Amino acid sequence: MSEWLLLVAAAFLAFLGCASLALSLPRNWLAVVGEPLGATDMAITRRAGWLALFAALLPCAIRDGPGFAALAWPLLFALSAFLVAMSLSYRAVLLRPITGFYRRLARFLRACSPR
Amino acid sequence: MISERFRQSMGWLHTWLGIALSAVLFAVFWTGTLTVFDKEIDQWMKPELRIASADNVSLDSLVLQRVATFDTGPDSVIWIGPPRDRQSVIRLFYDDAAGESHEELIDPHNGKLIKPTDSDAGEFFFRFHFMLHLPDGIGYYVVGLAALGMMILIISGIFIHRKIFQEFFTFRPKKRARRAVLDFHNLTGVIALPFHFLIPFSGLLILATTYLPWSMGVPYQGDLKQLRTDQLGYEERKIEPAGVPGGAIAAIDRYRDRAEAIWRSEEGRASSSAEWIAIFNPKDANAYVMIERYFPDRRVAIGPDQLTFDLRSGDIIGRFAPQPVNYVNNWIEGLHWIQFDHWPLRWLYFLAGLSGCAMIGSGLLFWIEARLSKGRMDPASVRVVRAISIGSITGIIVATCAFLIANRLLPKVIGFTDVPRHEIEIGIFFGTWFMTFAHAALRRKKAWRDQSIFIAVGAGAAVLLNWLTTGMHPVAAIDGAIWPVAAMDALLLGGAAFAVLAARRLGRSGQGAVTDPARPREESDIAAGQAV
Repeated sequence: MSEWLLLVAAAFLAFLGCASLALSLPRNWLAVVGEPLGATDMAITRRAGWLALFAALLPCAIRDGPGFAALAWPLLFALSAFLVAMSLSYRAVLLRPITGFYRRLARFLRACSPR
Repeated sequence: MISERFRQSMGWLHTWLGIALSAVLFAVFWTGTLTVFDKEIDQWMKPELRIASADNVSLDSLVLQRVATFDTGPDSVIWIGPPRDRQSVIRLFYDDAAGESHEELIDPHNGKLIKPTDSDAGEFFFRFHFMLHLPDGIGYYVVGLAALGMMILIISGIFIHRKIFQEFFTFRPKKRARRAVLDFHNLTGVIALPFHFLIPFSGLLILATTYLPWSMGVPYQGDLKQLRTDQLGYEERKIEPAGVPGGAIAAIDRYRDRAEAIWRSEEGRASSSAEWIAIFNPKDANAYVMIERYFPDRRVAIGPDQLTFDLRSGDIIGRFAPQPVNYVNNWIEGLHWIQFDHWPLRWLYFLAGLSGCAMIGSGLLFWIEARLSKGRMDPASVRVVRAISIGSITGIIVATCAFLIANRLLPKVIGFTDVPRHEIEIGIFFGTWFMTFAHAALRRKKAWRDQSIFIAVGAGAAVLLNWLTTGMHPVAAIDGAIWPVAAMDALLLGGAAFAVLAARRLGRSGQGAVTDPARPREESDIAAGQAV
């Protein structure tokens, strides 16, 4: 059971990472949100994307050890990147929940930052 | 900073090397991708092997009585392969006293002998993907050169791609067709780039002793036998036969269990199954047994790991494990062999393999259509080049369907010819493949659509014939937990559905291909396109 949970966690993080990196590009963000990508949104989305992508390595390593993780992680990344590209091409709205999350996060960070 | 001249030269290299190797690379990648499920293909094509898996099989009770009847010489070796994750049956190999090799398959539930359908099945795709079914080992070198070329293609492809990150997730199917094909080529190439590089690299490494036999022997002054003993554990014999008849072998389970327990405790893993049990000098007083796993089930790095036991005392008399210095090499080779027990990773490999096929096919397609759009080829050349492309891409898939259909249609025992059944199947594969080239030459660009329909019909027919000839339809396979058959049927049906969509799309365009010569190229076409 825990093996499957770790696999799902790795797949989720890899997909989130790829989707975030894709959305950190102005053209993709515009296609999904319908508004231009702001500098704060871009910075948050891209950093979170890299973070999620590399975080996906952790459940892979915990599940099967480094020998398998070194194979599973790049292949999960490949699958995620393909799914993100297909989403952007055919159903960009599928990625809207992710942009919504980052926009709320950006608003929260702006509210917290000293004026 | 990469100069424009360097980029252009890389573009030239990428284009022409790609054209030269595409047909071979597609065939190798396609059959290699199928090999990911070679044992599942075996079960589909040899219905007698569709046996539910059995745990904790006692070889003592199922095999030893039978082994005692083998007509082996005093210094023979009997190899016993217990059931493993992807293989339900027990395998026996031995040479008889006259030196003739024998293979037997045993049902692990009742110990009965299984006579499978005479088919090369998954083994055919496996051998084809590195030998191309060519005589005298020519295939090794053709595939080796193609693998080397693919690594060069990957590296040159990185240099010519101007905006790797900017266009990483870019696929524009609604743009003009040639643009969409190029996007797809870039996408499938870039997302699985480490895989596309590591697969040919690891393939070359596996066959390094074939390609460079002399260099491998240098540390051993050319003594390749010593090299194999030191690095691979291939020792001729630990104990010579005494020349005195020994009694029947009473037990081997205990040695297998001991070896597995040792591996488990050393690796801290819950499971670690033996792959082979080899009985040396089986009818001699000096009989001994070696437990081996060449492909550990929960490790990428291959072995072999061996433990050898004296049958008289039960003591461990020999042990081999790869040296730590070999680990990287064994890991790289293991990632190519994919014999580990990791189903999610196996499916990811399959999908990555398909992405490799898509990358190679779309690259070839883009080059042809780019040339056609510029009117650079005379009609005769167009016909030849297009026929080669169609036969190379859709043709081999049609041939694969024909291979499966032939397997289900041919009678189990063929009376009308002396040609073995498995060779007839292979002949049908190659005959169909050659016909797809001829069909493509005759039907020109309409052949894309035609052959997509052939694939759809062929894949659907294979599922139907499997049902009719074995009584096992996809639902029955799921119900009976015969997952290899269920997955094969599902993939065939999925492939048929995809081929129908492709045929409809090609039919709608009225082109049968992706030519759009009226429109000029876009600014963002990468250097590969510019170099065309």
